[in-house]
Amino acid sequence: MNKYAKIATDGMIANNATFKLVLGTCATLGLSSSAFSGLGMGLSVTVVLLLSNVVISLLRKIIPGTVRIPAFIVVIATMVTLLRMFLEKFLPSLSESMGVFLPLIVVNCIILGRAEAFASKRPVLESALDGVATGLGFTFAITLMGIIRELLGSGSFFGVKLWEFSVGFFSNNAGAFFVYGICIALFVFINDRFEKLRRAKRSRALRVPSDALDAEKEGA
Amino acid sequence: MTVRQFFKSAAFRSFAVLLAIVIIAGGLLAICNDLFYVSAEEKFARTLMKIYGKAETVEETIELTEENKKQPNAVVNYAYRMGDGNLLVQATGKGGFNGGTVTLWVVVLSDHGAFGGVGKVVYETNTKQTYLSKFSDSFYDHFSAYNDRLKAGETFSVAEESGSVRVVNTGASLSSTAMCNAVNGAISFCKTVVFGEEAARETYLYESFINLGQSVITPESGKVSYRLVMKANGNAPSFTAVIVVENGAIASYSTEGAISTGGYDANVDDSFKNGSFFLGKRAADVEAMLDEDRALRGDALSSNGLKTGATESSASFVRAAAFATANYELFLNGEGGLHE
Repeated sequence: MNKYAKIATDGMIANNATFKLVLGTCATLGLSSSAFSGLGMGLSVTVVLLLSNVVISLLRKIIPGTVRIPAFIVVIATMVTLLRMFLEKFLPSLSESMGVFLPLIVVNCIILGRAEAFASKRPVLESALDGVATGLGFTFAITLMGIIRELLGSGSFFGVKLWEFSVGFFSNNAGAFFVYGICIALFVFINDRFEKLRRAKRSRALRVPSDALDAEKEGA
Repeated sequence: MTVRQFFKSAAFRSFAVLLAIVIIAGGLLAICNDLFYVSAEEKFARTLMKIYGKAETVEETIELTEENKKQPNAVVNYAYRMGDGNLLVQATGKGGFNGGTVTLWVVVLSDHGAFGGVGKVVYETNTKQTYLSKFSDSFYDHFSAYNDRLKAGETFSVAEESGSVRVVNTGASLSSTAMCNAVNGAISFCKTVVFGEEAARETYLYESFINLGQSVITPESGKVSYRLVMKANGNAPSFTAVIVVENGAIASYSTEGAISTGGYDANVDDSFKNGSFFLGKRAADVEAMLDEDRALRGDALSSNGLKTGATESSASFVRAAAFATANYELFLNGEGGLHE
């Protein structure tokens, strides 16, 4: 696997910020009540991650280590403010549905975490890819939770009413924690199964075939 | 350290880099702020689109005065006559959770120049309402489903009362109260200011808080005895206040029935429950505890050393006392029409 593929799979699956690293929990719980708001939040975080990773990677040799965190925060806050202005102008309903969680992207630890752990040490292209991959991993997670909670909590899918049956529990905060826990458990379980299968496949490939060994003995 | 050394130091470099980032970011945001500016007209056009689902024209902006914008438990912020002949009113309803408000856009229908009901209600904003997420868009449709009863003079209320249409979201009754007040305020504004109907006048001060039909008021020589059935007020249910006013001052005060729901009974001061607080109080003393909207003043309880935490019930206690003392002369002189 080349390094770009590894960065992409790490960000989206292996080190999924929401289900594996349990980062950005506040926004995940707050905006997963519907699939639409989850998707909107996920894409917003992806855009901010991409832009802030690119800028921080470009400035990585200029920013002194002692002031790197305040510098990252200023860059991230600028990107979030730009995004907020853009959404208020062109997508007001999305901006309204995200409410206070939109400006709070500034303190989303996924973004600062990727800036500190990745973008401040790696070249621009890799940082950009890492931003997109991590953002899409977050988008997948929060949208999945939004779909589950919306289906069970209000009987609709992306705002389209499917049935009248609904369980109010899934619309409230306790329901958010419950769905989050179940999703983490399932994600880790499936990920572990794939990892075991991958290891077994690799170890089989590394094992020397027995008939080849027999032929070697006869020749001797 | 020399000046030259300072300018070469890591501290200066850190400061300069951070300052440069802040200045560039500030400049960028200033430019984008201008580029992405949303004007008041654009915001209003978006609101109209949200309400009507299509571009709608404003025929006339109705002028608001300090007098007509104030409605019972509500304030009208904007009012427009629309191209389709109906009225669009933005009203803020009081009496929400924690003393907060809910602001709604209300489409008031015009039926040949007379009040024709409510066309649509759209949520705008709120203050201090933490349970607003419990209100789905379909909840607001309730307000436009009872136009026949509204035309007959009924108003919206969260309580089951005669003469009112009950609209409540169980679990968020105080926010529901503020919403009912906003819609009632918009209707009242249109009826009195636009359609020219005469405003409902009070026969007795504070009568809007009392179920007059169920209350009994008995004047005797020098005193008036009241059995006042209070209207429900959020977490304060409809209870009965038994009050005797003698020579303009309260001589006895007691209550019958539950005074609070939702477990707030313990937060009502004991001197309210046994009536001792009100003994000897005159109209001026009691009315001083209420503000111009007849809501309990923010410091009315704490400044008198009373328990806080049951504002609705405490307000009902004070309003009963205010009704009894403020209308004492009227009933004593036989001018009222409710006494036995």
